[in-house]
Amino acid sequence: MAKQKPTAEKTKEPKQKGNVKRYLGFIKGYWILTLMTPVMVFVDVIIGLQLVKIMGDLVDYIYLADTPEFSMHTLHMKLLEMLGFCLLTLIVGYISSRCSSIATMGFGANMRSALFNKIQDLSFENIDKLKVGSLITRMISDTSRIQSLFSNIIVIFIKGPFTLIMALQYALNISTKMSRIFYAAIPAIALILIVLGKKAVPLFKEMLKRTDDFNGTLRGNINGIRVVKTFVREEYEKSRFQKIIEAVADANIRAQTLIIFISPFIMIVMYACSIFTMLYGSNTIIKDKFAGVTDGLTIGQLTAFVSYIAQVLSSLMVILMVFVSMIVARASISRVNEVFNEEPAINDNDGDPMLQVKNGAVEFRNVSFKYSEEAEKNILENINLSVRSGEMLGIIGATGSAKSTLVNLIPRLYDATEGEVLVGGENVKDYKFTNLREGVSVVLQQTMLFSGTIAENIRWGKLDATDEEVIEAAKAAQAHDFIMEKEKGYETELGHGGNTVSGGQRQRLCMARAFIKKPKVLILDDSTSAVDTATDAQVRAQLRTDAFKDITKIIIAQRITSIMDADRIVVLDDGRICGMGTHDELVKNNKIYQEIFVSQQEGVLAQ
Amino acid sequence: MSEKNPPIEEKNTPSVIDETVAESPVKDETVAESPVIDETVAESPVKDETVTDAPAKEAGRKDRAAKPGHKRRKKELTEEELEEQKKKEKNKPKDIKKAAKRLISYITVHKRRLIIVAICVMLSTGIGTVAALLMQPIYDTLEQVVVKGNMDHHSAMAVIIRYIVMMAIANLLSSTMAIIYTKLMLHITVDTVKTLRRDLFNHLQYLPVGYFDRHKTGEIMSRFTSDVARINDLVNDSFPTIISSTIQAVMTLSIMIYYSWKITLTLTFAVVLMVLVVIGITNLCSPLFKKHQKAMGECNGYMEEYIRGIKAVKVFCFEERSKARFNELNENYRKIGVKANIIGGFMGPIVSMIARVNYAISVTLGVGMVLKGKMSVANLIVYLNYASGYGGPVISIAGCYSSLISALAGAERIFEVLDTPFEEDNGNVTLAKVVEGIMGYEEDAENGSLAWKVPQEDGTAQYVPVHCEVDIKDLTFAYEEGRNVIKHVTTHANSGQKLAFVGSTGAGKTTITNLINRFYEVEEGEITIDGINIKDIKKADLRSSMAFVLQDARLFAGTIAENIRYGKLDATDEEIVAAAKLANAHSFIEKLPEGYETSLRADGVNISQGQGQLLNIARAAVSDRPLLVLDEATSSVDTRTERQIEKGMDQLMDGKTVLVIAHRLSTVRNSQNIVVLEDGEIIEHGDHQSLIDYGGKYYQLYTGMFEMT
Repeated sequence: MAKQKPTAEKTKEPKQKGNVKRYLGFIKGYWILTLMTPVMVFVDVIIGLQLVKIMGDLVDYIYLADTPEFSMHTLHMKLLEMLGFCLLTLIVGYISSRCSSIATMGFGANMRSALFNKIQDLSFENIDKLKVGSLITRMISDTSRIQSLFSNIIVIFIKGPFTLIMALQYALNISTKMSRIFYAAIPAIALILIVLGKKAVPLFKEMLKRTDDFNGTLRGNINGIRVVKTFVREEYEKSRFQKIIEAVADANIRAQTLIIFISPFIMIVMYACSIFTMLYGSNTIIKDKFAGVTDGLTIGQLTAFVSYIAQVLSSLMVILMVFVSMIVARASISRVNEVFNEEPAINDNDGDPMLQVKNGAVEFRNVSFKYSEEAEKNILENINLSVRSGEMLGIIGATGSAKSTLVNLIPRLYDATEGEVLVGGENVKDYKFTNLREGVSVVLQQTMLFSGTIAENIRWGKLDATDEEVIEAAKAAQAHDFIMEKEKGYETELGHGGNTVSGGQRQRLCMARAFIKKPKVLILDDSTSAVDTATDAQVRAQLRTDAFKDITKIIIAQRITSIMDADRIVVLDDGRICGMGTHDELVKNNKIYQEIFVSQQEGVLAQ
Repeated sequence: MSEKNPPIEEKNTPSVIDETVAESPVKDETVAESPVIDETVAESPVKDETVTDAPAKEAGRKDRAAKPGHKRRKKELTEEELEEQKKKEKNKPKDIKKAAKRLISYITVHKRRLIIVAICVMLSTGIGTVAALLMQPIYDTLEQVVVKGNMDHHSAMAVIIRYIVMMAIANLLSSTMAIIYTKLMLHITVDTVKTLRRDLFNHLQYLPVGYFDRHKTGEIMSRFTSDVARINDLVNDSFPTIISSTIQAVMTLSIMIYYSWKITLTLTFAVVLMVLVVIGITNLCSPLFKKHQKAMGECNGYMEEYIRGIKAVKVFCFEERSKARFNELNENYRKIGVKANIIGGFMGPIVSMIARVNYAISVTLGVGMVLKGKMSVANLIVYLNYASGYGGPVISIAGCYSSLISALAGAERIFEVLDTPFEEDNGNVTLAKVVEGIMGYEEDAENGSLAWKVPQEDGTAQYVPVHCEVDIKDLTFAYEEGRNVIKHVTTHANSGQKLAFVGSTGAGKTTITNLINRFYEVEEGEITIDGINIKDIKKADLRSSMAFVLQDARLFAGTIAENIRYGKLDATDEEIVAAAKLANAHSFIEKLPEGYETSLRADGVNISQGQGQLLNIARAAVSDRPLLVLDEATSSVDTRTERQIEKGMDQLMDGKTVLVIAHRLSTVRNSQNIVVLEDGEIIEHGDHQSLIDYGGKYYQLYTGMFEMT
């Protein structure tokens, strides 16, 4: 019984045996229930067949009504037996449905947990590759499709073959000769199913692809409705969409038409079998009678045999249905597998658990970086940079000059392709993530906050922070005032993804969250772009206070005002350091800096 | 033998198998369609993400938040799952009759085919049901020979063969009919779905922009996907099922009554019981299922948040905590699911047991009758054959009811969209190309220059050359009653002038552009172009006179060339390249492996936001329209690139009336007319120098003393 499962799995993923093992692993904790299900299904199938048999016997027994062999007692016993089996159906059915649903949910839960955990363990590089949106789809819809496939497999997929084999067995018991009809019918059906199935797969794939196109176009249109309207392209869009609807409909019809023919075909085969059986059976019964054979085929057996035919052939239908659902689930499985098979691009296995970040010194030695091995061009090219502990370093450059990439190497969000990055005098690879990131706090460009109160979000930086520490950090990030303006202050709920506060406020909360950590190295990646210049200046003033004296501050900014008072400014251009020095020096001798400065200059001059 | 076992129904009685078979294509279809719906759920985060990606965009976001619905839209954008849930809860149509009537009108378009289907279904079921009767004479003959021994071999076989041939013909007929109607139904269904989708889409194109601001993308998309799928199921599945089940039920019942009304009565009682049990359990389960849905929502919500915010999770080494919490929610979801199934799980077995007990009762009663000589054994066999299939059609019809209800609810939501009025468009002034002749202006589509064609009462038309002089008079506007976003704004742009709007977030800058192209209707005050009230201009023509570069860089799935060509459908390749060069987009396009033929994804994620804006500018450039509206057109472009495209922008704006909205004041500096808005009111007005000299808000904004976003 248990063997059924791997076979089923193999059909989905013939290539990777490891995947099968993984999915088997999700049954953990539910093995008994999972195995109980087919057992119960088996019993259920047997009861069904047994009832048919009793019925046949009953018919034959009634024909004996006028003979001495007949006794009311036996008849009652047979009827009671029948009722007993019916009651058994309830019990068995209930147990099997309980087992299967609990096992299925358990399997699903295990799978979702494993997938979520896996995603949490992935590094930035993996996530960039897999895309956040797509990961969420995989978590929600792909897993649920796999879950229902699991349920199909343990209940229906197993029921089909069981019914097939057992009904055949019962039929053979009645008459080996008559059972020969199956030798013709089953291969015929199987052959047709395989041929049709092979044809159907590409058609279904095509259908899914068309549906994807349909959705993409629709989404594009809805999201871009303003563009459609401003360019008065309604009619154009209509004709474009019409084509896509037609394509979906055509693909649909082509795929479904095949399926439509499968069932009538099986019906015809079934009718043919029944008719031949009736013909042959009747003839045999009559012949036996005249030949004086007493232990030959009986009328009751004939009736039973006809219902077995129905069962055998309908079990084939059931198997077919599961196969169809497998085809559909296949895409989901491979998408989920893609995540599972993704190796975290960075791990800290070689890190020394005892190693802590001692000071805020940061050094880049001949660092080059590219996001993927296939990429031709390096994003960062031979960076050499040394930052003193406690220094304030500004980084400026055009979009795409790899400013963020550079700082992301410090907390080892990515690994340098060449060269090495040192923090506190040690290679970042020698630290455990927790220790390294305890010492290096980065405020990402994307402001990510989470459901929960403001205080809870700030405490992310330091779980055991006191209320005073939270307030202190918020004050340093210039967030305290707006927090206090809220009705519930620090206990304000931020809502899903922290969406209830504005962009500038989000940035300040993110800074507070990093400040509270009291790291050795603090990195602000364009963290004040959405706050006004006055607040920006106040934050910078805070960074100059004693509390931040020993902390290395690396600040990326778009506005020159945000970094002009840094100890040193690095100008990045196309992944290279093209200038370094104080604001005054750079204004004098760096062309790119001058260019940026000029474009922002007028405002600054007036200050 | 009829038994039910979730999740896929399986009925073994030959006569019932018809439905199982007919159902199967539908099932596949639903499965196949469902990824679609889910995709909807999951893709939206991407959209949201692209926005968060660029802090520069923050500005735009806040600005838009001033609009009603927008805030809500952003916040819940990704929670379409929850939306789905809500839908499930209110999955009952409000006005069944009305929705049904209208839905029927969609289906009855295929009247001829439907009639053929109905006839085929009736014949197929009828013949199929009656065919089973033919078994009786066969068994009777067998009984004659075997038990009574009063028939010879030859004549017995002759009778049997006769009936078997009849059976064969009947079965063949019934199957053929089944093939015909299934195939027809597939076409009818696909056509209906196609029509519904087409109507929805076509209607959508003319809905006011406000509709899209109020409704989430996913919500609108689910009209096209899940709601249509529900109708698909109903049409494809329920229509034939209802006919065939009814016929089957009636015929079976009559045949059974003919054989024995006593047993039939007992059986009917059992069937009613079965239906009641199904309904009862469904009701009993519904609060638990709701709870289950809620748990799922929580679990998915958390999951989504923490995957979206994964980078923050990593930076703070929060992985273990987030895992632990998720596992907790996941476990809770599972537990509630198990609970819900304790009751729900009874359904299948109970139904299946009742069916079998039913059968057992018939057997017992039947045997009794046979023994009393009131029924022949052959009768009993045939009778039992019918009895076992008796409950089937009843359950099928019950199943149709729920799919009917949910389809009608879906239909109602679809019709709601179709009933949303089009955007108001009473204007009768159109655009025309004219040349100046002796008798005044004459239309000349080839060589003419643009003019407004103002129809006069006497049927003639007066032509006003298009100069795009924009005049805004005492404009007041509110998205929501009582919350004026624009208050008494009066300003003017001469032909070829550059009019700029500046001000902090929520000052109402974007609203003005929304009013100029009539995304929203002016309620108080008026806007005129060349002296014509824009309300009098036909919308399509009004919009055809202006090119917009919106802050939200929207690109469509298709190649880069196609996206630029959107501005002018018949643009030549040269024009496209020229436009791209003007927008400074040519160089990056050239670097892409497939150049102008590079396919963009619908959400445009394979190019950066800044590049997207450049393409938007190119699109506007190729359209070459007399009025240009730039709404934060370069907000995502870095300052260096912005300087580089300055020349192109100048060229683009040359000779056109331009309305500019920008948070970077460098872009508005050379406007002849700068309007400083605050809280929807004009607080300062003038050119750059005079405003600087004035030393007010503009001065503050300009010198960076204030939040500019």
